[in-house]
Amino acid sequence: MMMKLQDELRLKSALFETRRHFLKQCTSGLGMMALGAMVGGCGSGKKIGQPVVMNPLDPKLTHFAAKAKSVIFLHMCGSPSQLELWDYKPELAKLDGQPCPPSFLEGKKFAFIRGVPDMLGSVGQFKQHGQSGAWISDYFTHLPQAADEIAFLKAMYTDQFNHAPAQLFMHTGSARLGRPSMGSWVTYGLGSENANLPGFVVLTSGGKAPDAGKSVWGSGFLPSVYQGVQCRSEGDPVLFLSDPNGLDRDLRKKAVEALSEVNRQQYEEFKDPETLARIAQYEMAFKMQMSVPEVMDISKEPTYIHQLYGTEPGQSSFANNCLLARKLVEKGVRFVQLYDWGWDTHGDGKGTSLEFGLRDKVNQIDQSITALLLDLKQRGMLDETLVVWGTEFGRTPMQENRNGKKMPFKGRDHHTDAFTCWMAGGGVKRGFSMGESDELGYFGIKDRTHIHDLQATILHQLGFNHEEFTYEFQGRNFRLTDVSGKVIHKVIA
Amino acid sequence: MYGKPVMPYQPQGVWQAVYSNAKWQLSQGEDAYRRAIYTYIRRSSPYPSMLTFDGSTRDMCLARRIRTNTPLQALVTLNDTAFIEMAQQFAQRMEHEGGKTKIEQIKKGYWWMTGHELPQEKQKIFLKLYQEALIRFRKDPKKQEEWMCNATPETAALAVVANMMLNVDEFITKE
Repeated sequence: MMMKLQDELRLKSALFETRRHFLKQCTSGLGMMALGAMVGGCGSGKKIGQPVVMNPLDPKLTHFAAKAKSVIFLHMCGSPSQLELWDYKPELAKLDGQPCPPSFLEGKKFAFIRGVPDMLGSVGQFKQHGQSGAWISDYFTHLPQAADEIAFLKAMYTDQFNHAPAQLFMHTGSARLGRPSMGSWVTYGLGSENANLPGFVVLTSGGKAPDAGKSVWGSGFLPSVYQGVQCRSEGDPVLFLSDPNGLDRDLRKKAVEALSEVNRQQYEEFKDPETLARIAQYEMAFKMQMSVPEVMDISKEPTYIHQLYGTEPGQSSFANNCLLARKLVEKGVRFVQLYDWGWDTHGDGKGTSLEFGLRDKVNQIDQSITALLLDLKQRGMLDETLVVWGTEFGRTPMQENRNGKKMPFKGRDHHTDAFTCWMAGGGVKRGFSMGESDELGYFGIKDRTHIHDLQATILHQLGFNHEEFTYEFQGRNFRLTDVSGKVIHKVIA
Repeated sequence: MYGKPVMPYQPQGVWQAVYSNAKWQLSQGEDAYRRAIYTYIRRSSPYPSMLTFDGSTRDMCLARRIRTNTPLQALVTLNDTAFIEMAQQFAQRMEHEGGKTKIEQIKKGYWWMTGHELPQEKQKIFLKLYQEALIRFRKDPKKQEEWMCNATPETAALAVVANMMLNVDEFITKE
């Protein structure tokens, strides 16, 4: 037994050795010239014959040509009601106030609804907009301008009816903790186009972090270099970005130069390429200290941009994050994720009601989302930027009756069987709607799309076959879409 | 040894606990400086520098720790308050126990750090950085005060060197 283990250990370490040697040979051989040009960014003036450092974020090739270069994922934490915003159900309005038919309740489990709840007609007034005739409710006043850019998925469904697991499911493909997030997969597969910025950036608004915590942008079992970097609007935009007090830039520069020199001597002695990587990372960190505050500063944007987005420099808001998302994508960031908290509209208070709270929340995003779409379009970036608006699940067509009691305001419970997400740009159809729920908006009845399907489609637009895009961990291959997921070809232009 | 978990310094606003009023309360006195094994762990909001260094998020069991090498790690070891305080303490120890001259002190510090002699070439680099920092701090006592209060310009300059020493590859990576 012991011998066997030792043999296995030897075999494993030999495997790692050869891989490392292979990489070394690759980088110092013929491919080096090409790579040297691609690496760029740091440490210019490399000598021929010196191994080029393989940076884990170097740009990489995909399975096939990509339609989208980057993704902006707008996640509304708490799940806004599809019935108030996107999914027009005149039949439901007729049943408003009547007890829910028993067939709806048989074998069903809800987060809060108990007994027999009443049906609840939509609080929103619906109208068709644009040439595509997209149904958007009166909650939105700006978004109709961009209606023809949007492709709706109106029969989304998920497996999870509580926020944290459902958010994990949306972003990591699993309701349990521990899997890499979509953005991590994407940066792992694509690398970064800008050596001076992180490849995957996360921005949050709404006063709280997502229910599932930082795991929704974690790298799981992928190396931590692929985890989402949360950029903050208060304090350092990236943790530990600013130099310590009293240490000014040129003294810091001298210090980093001294450090590089010491490390270079170290490399001369031991020839470990990791040492070169270390030197490169310190130089990159030094550059990031300049480039990150620059891109995160929106105060220098022209007035018309601020008017378009409704942004106010220095504030922490969803609008500011939308503008930042555009700036980051422009600079080559692959995956930008926005989380906005506060959409959980149960109706247990004014702030969480469909009549008031939801309207306030929509007012916080309406103008800036519209601005983001129009601004990207105007800059010619929408074609290669996939914007996804989504959430973790939907809401019930029934009025919530927490613990069997009547709620003070209009509200709906968590619902997994039908909800709406949408995409725009990045090679998806413009002015398109796909999927239908039944007359009461309870179940998807046509072209249902699962969370894994959406994930497969996002990867597809970035040039990946989601079934082949795997990482070996704990003895098997893992992928974002687990063991399911189909690319939603209907929605692709 | 032993004792309750502690909450060492972490930047404002990083700690986020949904569905709970738990707060990150900076531990006082020695507790703020305990080994990382005592650091309070919350899976949904892990300690930031551990996350940056491939620390386990405790979501899954790990058969082996992945080794990465990222610019964000460089920012932690260069700028995190914990590392700055370490550098300042290290500088003071070098001064008190390292010998009479600066070069003796730096050599001793390097010995403590790595267990071997500081080569001639590297001595020059560290000494040059020390002198540059010293000139600056002598010229601008206010800057020096911000960087390290209640210290002589010599100690403050040595702390700049110590900060760099704690970042050399030889110290961070085990060959």
